[in-house]
Amino acid sequence: MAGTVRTENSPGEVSAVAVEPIASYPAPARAILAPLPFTAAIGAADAFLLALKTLTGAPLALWFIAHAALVGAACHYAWRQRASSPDLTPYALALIASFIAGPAGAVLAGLALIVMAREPDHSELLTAWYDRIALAGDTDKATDLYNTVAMGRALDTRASAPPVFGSVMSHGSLADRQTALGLIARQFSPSYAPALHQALVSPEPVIRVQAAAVAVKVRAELKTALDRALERAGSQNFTPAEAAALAVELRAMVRSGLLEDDDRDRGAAVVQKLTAAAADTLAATNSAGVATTDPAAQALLETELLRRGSFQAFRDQRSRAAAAAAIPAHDKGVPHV
Amino acid sequence: MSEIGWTEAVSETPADICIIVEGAYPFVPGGVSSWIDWLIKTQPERTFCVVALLPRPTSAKPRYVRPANVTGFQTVYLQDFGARPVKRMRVPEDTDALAQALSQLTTTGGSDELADVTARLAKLRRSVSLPVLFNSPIAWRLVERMYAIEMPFASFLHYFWGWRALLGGLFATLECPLPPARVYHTISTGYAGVLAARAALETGRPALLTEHGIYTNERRIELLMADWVADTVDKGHALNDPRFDLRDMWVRAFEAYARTCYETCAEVITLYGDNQRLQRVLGADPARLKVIANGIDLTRFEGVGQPPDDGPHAIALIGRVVPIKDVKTYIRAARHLAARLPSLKAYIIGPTDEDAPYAEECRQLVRDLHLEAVVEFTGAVDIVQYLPKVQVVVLTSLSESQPLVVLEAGASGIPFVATNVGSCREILEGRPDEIPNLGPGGIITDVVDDAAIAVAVERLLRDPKLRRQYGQTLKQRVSATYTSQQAAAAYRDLYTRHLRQAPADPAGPSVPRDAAILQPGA
Repeated sequence: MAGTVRTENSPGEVSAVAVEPIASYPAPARAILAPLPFTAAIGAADAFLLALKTLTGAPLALWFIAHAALVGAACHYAWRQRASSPDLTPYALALIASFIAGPAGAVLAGLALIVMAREPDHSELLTAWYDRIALAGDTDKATDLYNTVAMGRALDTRASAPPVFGSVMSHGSLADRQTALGLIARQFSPSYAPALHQALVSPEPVIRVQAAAVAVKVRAELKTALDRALERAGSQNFTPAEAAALAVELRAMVRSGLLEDDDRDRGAAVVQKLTAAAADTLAATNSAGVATTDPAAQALLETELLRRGSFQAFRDQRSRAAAAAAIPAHDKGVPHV
Repeated sequence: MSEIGWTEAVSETPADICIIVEGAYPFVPGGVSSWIDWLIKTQPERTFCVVALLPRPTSAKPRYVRPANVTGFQTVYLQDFGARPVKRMRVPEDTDALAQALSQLTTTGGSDELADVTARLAKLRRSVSLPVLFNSPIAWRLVERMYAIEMPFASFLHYFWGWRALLGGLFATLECPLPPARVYHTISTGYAGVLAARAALETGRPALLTEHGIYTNERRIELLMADWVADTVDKGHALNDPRFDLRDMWVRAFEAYARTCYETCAEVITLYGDNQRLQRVLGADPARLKVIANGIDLTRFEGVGQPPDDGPHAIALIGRVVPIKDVKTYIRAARHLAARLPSLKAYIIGPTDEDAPYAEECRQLVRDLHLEAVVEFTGAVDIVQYLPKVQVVVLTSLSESQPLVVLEAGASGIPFVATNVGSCREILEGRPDEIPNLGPGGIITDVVDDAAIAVAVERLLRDPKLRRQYGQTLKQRVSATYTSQQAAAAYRDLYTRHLRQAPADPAGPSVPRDAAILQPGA
């Protein structure tokens, strides 16, 4: 059983995938002990020859010829086992020891096989192998990254940018629209909601049906996400930046059009509360703004401060955000609402 | 499995028709199962045997009494394939060629590809059975080669288990004994379609396909959304990344099986015209496509009365309480209506035991929306008892083929509000070839649009004249186009034509190796 699959990554470059089967790992105990009856048989036969020589007083040369013939026959037998036991080392050990030391050699070889078989098992090694091919092990990030790149599983950065889902739903092929809906279902973000709504009213029945199935799935997920966010909103104290970030997250859910009316209203109320609280803090404490690198959160805060007429707080917040590089340099002087 | 007559046994005498069905009849109630039951019963002059493909042995009891003209019944388990593992076995030299052929069959499909695989497996079977082969060094060699051919960059372990699941089903389909029959009729593509294709190739007898929904598309939607399929290649949001991953492997395999089935079947039948578009996209020969609409027995609904115009408003959703019916959208629509029509009663008529957690979610939604006094779950009841109370029947399904419930409501003269799925538009508004067009028999809305559904239902509830007009139109259309007699006659004609080409001579299909002979009355 060949154990390595080779992959052509690019012309002339070949990488090996570790898929070595179990059989290529050190032989387990039962494989090592398999020749034990064979060793015992040689030892017994050799002991019989020795006893015969002693009892009959046969010449030493005759005994040696019989001994050599016995070992030769055993060699032939061992060679025939190679189909089922690719590793003939234990047989060779028994044969050499028996040839040199007769019955005593066979006994010693048997003992040696027993000792060899008592080596610790390799289950950890096997588990590591299994984890490695399953990509489930705790390998370090560098190794993971190397494997991903070397095997060709990494993101193809040379490919053109993925199309906007909205335009896929309008102009994409049937297959592309189905794939996009699959992605929306598996990696849903509230920002995909418009594309999903587009698909729900598609003139193509196949797309409508799939979009409906996606909508049902993501609705349930969105409800869970909303409940979690609302729980967080009610149980923690936030800095203005954190409050704005959470408000932005909740606002996307509220605007998705995929929530029950009650949930949508609850979410909207919390968005308002979080935004107001953040703006209160910024306006009241003259905090000179808070650093936020999230443009959406920054826009939310600025809009709220402008709505209230808290212009000084607005300017402070804008300066602070610009300093934190949240706003591109060319846009620094323009209110971004 | 001997309940209500379903003893697993196959007659030595070839049945006229062998029905091949995956995951439905006779164990799972529903549209397809009821249809098969109807089909067999409406062709009493023909004998049938049934091959039921199931994931694994089931403790579920058959839900249908075996019709008298069913002479054989056999189950095939798709996920339980493989004998005790064999560690030592000589790997034949042509194993790599078999891997190539299997790869071809599971990626592109086709009748030639199936013939190639079955021929190679037949050669191998002389020395080793498929269940033994599937857990032997030969299988290891196959998986290694196919991995290298198909997706060498993907995780091998994920591929390995995916391969086991996919090929296990295929091997089970190729290994199972073929019941002797004169015509093989599969009710879907997928594994059932492969079995029908194999039967046609091995016996030379005709194979037929009737697709209610488009199986391949249903599997594709399911697989594209599935969280249980691991994505081992980082494609980001690219839609056309050429690297195949496990998800693609599954989708491609079902498309390939469909192509194999379409190529081999003499006729490919579906319930309504729009399905044929997808069948053509998936490789079906337009010349073999045919539509036979489902029908219902009108006499059952002849005496159903109408509720009084000034009586309390009542609507009903009739169907199993399962996600595909989107019962939650119906409940949300009921919430909109209840706010405007205080006397409203909204029935949900159908069994709730098929997906108990979903049914509980629906009940919870009723409680959350404070609709306990409005929405009533009746469970499985005789709909004829409830229809006289109902003014409008609603269908909020995400996917349907040709829902019988629309025909049943229509036969009772009750107008319908349905989502734009399957053939609902054809039934409610008339086929393009309906001359003269009878007019609307109900209102079509978008899917998952509770507000639009509520508006449509309210329009009918508030206008008794319009309601009666739509109800009568629907009744007229159902009587003219969708009767059980018409559908039965179309299938009688279909079978007669193909049986003429398939002599009753038992030569050809193999009698199952382990099947007992059916005893009379078993």
